[in-house]
Amino acid sequence: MPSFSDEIRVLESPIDVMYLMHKAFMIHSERTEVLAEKAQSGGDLTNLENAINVWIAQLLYHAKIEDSHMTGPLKDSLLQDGRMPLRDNLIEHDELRHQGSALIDHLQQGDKSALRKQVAALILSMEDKDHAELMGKVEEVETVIKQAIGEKKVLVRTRRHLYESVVSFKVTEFDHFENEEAFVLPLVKDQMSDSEELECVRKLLFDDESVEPRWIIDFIAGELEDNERELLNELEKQIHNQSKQEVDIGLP
Amino acid sequence: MNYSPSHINDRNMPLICVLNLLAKSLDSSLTVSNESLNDVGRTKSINSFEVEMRNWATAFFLYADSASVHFERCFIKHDDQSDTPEFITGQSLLSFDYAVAKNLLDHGFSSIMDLTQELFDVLQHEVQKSVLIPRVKNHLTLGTTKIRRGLLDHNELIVGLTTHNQRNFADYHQNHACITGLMDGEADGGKWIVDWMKYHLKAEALETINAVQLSR
Repeated sequence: MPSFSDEIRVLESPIDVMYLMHKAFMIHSERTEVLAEKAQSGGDLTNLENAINVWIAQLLYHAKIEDSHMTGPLKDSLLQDGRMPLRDNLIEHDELRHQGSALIDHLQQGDKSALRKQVAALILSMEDKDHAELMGKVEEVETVIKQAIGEKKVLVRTRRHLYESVVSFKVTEFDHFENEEAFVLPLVKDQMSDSEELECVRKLLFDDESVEPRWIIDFIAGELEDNERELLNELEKQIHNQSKQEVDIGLP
Repeated sequence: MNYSPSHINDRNMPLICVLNLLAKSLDSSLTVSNESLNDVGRTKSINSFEVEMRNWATAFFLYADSASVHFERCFIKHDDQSDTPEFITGQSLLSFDYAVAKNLLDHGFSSIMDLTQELFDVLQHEVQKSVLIPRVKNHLTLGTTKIRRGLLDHNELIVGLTTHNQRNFADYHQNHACITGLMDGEADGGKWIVDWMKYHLKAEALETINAVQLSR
């Protein structure tokens, strides 16, 4: 199979839907990065905030379902380089959750976030004695920066830090997708039957707990080219057929 | 990007600050280097990116030296070395704690150096046989983004501190003292750094440097 960064012409196995999903996520990430870059020059942040919220909501759901329904049931393996694909996948998901949460905090804190970040980094870098002194001076340090650079520059600085956080999140996401495709998907294909893969894919594409269960598949479809969307449509038909068969034979 | 307000002396002549020119050059260089990553493997090699970043690091050290001189001139040093230097309040009526401000600047400098080292580590360990794969390109882009953010944060702070103290700032920038200080401190009379700045600066700033060189 090609990587998510290539053109996807065929799904050899249901779990190959991951290539389509990863591709759609990255297209959205790159669009968000452009919005964040432009926001450094000023302007309304509504579109950027919406894009970040969608991005994080999609990724958090994706990671949660992968942990519970894709990697959860599998047995891990130890590769020659010391990598354990399932364990490492969980760690990468935690890192994505951490960075996603920091991005949301960044948006919510507004102008203060860049200053807070700088002061926190400064205090963490100090030796113990200075550290203790500076802990009592957090407000003072913030004031020094604010007074020195002026209120207007505080806003510019915040936007600059936000852009960096968006780029960083995108890079972490890209690395994770590549790792998952190279090391985790082969384990899925080895250890799951087609039927199990299809059920896992159903969970990845449809949110059973939402009043709008199609919010994931509709998002993915919206980001893809026509031929790739057709692959997704075919997979959706397979999912419906399997669900119908399960109902027909009385499976829960 | 606006680096500092226009500084005007009592004869209404613009004051030339080498820190401002260096910051503009450093920012421009980072932007160009980052964009050049898109051309690696086509019209550029990864080696040219590495050379650009090594030049950037050299220029940044000179910027840091100059920033340090600018910063110290914000404060009055007492004859008694045990007394903390004081910030002279100018028209802004603001005052800054020397130790806090110094810590901030030292931290800004060292964090930029750490980020630069991280970028060189990526170049050294992740680029194999001069081939730049998308994953590594992403990390280099992130590296230059972080360095640029650090530089602009750092420069805003030093410019903010130094320009609040209008009197000392004006004194130091009369007769191009600030820029000639940088040139005189270099073994080659500042030829390399001036050429490097000229390469990265826009026309208006170029005229400024040319005027200073002619006046010497």
